[in-house]
Amino acid sequence: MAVYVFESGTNDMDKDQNATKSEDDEIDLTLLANFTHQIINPLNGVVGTLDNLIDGTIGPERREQRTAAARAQLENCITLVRNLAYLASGQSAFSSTVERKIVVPQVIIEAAMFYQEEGKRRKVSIDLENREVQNKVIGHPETLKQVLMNLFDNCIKYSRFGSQVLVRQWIQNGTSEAVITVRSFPEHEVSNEDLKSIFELGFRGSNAKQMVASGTGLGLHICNHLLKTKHNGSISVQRDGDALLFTLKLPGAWRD
Amino acid sequence: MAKTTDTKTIVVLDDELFNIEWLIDYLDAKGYNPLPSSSADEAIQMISAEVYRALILDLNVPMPTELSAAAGKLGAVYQRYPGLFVAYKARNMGYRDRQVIIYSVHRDSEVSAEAEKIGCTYILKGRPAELKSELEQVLSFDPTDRD
Repeated sequence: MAVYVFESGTNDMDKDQNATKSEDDEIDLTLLANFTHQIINPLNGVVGTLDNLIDGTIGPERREQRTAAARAQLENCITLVRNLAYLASGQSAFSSTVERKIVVPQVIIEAAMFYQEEGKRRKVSIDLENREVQNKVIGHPETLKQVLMNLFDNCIKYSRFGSQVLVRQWIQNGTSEAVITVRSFPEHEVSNEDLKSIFELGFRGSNAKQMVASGTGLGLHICNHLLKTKHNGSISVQRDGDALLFTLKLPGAWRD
Repeated sequence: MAKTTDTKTIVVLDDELFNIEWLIDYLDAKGYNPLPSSSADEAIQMISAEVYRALILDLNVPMPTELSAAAGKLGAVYQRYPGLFVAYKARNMGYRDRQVIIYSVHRDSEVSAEAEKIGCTYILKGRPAELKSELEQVLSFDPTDRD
């Protein structure tokens, strides 16, 4: 039996632990710097818009649209902060821990509505097929909405201009899982290497970086984590021709 | 300094243009033609064709690999912040110091040092009134306009 004696001061185990700790610190600082950038940018935009509304720079014909755009920017910031709050405090970041009935098409539509303004700008539409089919699961509506919002945010930002994000939902025979697929067309091809890392914390693929230089790499990581920990579900991604197909699975689905 | 060839146009470089829509509205209302750009290479092509009235440059924008290599020859900070490379190029094309405004979330000491060296303005995002105030001063007078 080996006996390890750890003396005070630096030894190999301490060095390894210190190295891991400083790598983690670096990831944390980089994430924080990226997060700060992602929050200040839209907030600066909101302040600028409010200034313009107050001093009459924006004429009456555009006031409503600019106000709606500012609201969308604030909602985006809230989503970002929630992502960070979840990361920082684990499962307690969301107010409700009580599971409830979720009507799947309803939560999809609610999540998509947050991205109407941004979608209009890039002429990217989020369309749900068979929205009238009321599939249901038991779970946490807030976290499922967060997952979908993160996914739609990703799709709107990095899809081709003028493309469609197509969402489908059904119940898988045999497993009774609710399946939600989100199909989008990235501006640039996403490599197999990038697909392998796409759910890692802080990861941003080359498609994303070519379109928007800054990002937190938090959204899809949170999707993966929330589905696993809050819904006992899963998310996966694959190429579908030149499209990207995200597949979400949630157990225990039914339809009345 | 190079004579302004397009006195009504202001280039705005930012890869998230919806976040500076307020600036586009402001410049439009002041009678200028805001010309958006969303990448370093696109911005450099634009400023090579004309000498515009002013440039407002975000630091963190996409830059293709070949341009990044060229930026790297000036220093790592130019690769890290492509907008700074665009500012450098502009100053070397004859844009006046106050015509080139770096407008960014980041307050980076290396960027500050380079901005001072190449001679351009560096304004932090967060208080749009500061940028407006600077623009009002810059746009009030063009020393190359001798007509």
